[in-house]
Amino acid sequence: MAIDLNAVATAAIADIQTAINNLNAVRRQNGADVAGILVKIEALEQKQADLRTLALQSVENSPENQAAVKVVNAAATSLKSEAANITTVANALITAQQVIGDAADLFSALGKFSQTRRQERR
Amino acid sequence: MHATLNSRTGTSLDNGHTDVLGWGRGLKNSIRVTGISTAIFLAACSPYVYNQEIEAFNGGVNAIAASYDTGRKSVSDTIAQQQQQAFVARRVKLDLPDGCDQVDPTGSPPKLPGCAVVKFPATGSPAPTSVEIALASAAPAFDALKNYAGALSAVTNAADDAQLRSATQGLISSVDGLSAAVASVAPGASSPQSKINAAGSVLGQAVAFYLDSKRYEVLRNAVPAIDSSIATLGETVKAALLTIRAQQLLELQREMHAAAAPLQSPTVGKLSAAEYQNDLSVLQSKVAAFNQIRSVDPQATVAALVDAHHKLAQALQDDARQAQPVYATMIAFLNSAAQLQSAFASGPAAPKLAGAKP
Repeated sequence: MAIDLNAVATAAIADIQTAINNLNAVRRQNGADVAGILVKIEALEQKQADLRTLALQSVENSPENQAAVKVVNAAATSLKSEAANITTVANALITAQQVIGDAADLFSALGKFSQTRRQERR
Repeated sequence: MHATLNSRTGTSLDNGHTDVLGWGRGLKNSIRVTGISTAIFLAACSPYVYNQEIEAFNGGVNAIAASYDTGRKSVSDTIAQQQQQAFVARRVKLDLPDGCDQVDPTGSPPKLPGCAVVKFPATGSPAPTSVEIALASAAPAFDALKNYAGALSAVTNAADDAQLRSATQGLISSVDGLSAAVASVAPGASSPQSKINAAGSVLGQAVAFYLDSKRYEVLRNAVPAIDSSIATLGETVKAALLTIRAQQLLELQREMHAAAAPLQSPTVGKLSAAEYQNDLSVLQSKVAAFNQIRSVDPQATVAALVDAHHKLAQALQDDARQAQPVYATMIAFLNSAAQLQSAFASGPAAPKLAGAKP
């Protein structure tokens, strides 16, 4: 981004802060219109907050932001798909475990059958 | 007598039984050594997939997203409170929009019309302010970031590791069961335990190596490619968080000025001790709330986010295995985000309802 809008807003806010500081100095002088000065200070503080909103609007409407949202969302979709593929490997292991478990049961049954046959031969 | 084995036929010569797996002591020892060597080799070569670091990144991004949600709500509540105060001050004639007489959603996608107290005559739903619109428009940036961090976490997911360990262990147990069953068919076959240990160790390491390699490849392809986009999104996220902070501070400044007024007045000496104590307590609580929000720096938090992601991208790209610096930046980011979340959650007081006692 060519211009850092947040930096521009921060600089302008600092300028307004100088004005607020000056008003605060006047407020402490004898006979000052304290209430009137406070209204002006709050109006300037409102301007500071408005500048932040303005910077936000400019940044979020920038083509760079729009493009980044699309790129990051696309990456997230792709990553989730890869994550699902990786999980599939673990699932395949579980299937393999079941197959081997079944085979073990079969061998166990065969073993009992074999022992019975040996005893019968004796 | 020691058994001798014809490894080609798998016949154990001393007892005449057939070793159906074709493994005897010599071969068994050889497999044990090979298995251990392979396990060590695989463990040494297994790529580091930054699981903890990515979890910390995900946690930090979630804290930032939560800060945005609570901050947005706080700003809307404050605006509603100010509007209510303006109504009361000027005794404004009020109305309810037509939406308040509709109970079911209509249209496609189905929507409920707005219902709120508005100025007479009600011409539709109350319009959001420019701050509310700007903050709402930042939502896609936060959503994209949260979505991405969640997806990164899914790739290195600990739950997946637990599932994998369980599956590998189950597989080893099944092989153990299978070998025991084989031994019962052929009682002379060598003890399966050492084979199981060696085979199981290699199997577990090999599967972990395969999955970590896959994870690493996915992360290495994605994270560096996205790095500049994260920095761009960071600008929007920073601007939104700064806006929320500015709005919260603005309201707290007003509350603080109002609370200070009686104590700044030339007639302060006429207050009773109890009145003075009460006014002072109120002012001190406002100052404390103001200082808490003022102490957090969204710019620093977002800078930490961008830096943490950049360090991760670099480490993946270089295959440096320098986990410590990446971890340190992730923790710094996580702490900063948590502090921000805590401060935004304690923003200006919730709006007081009309007629409610203070």
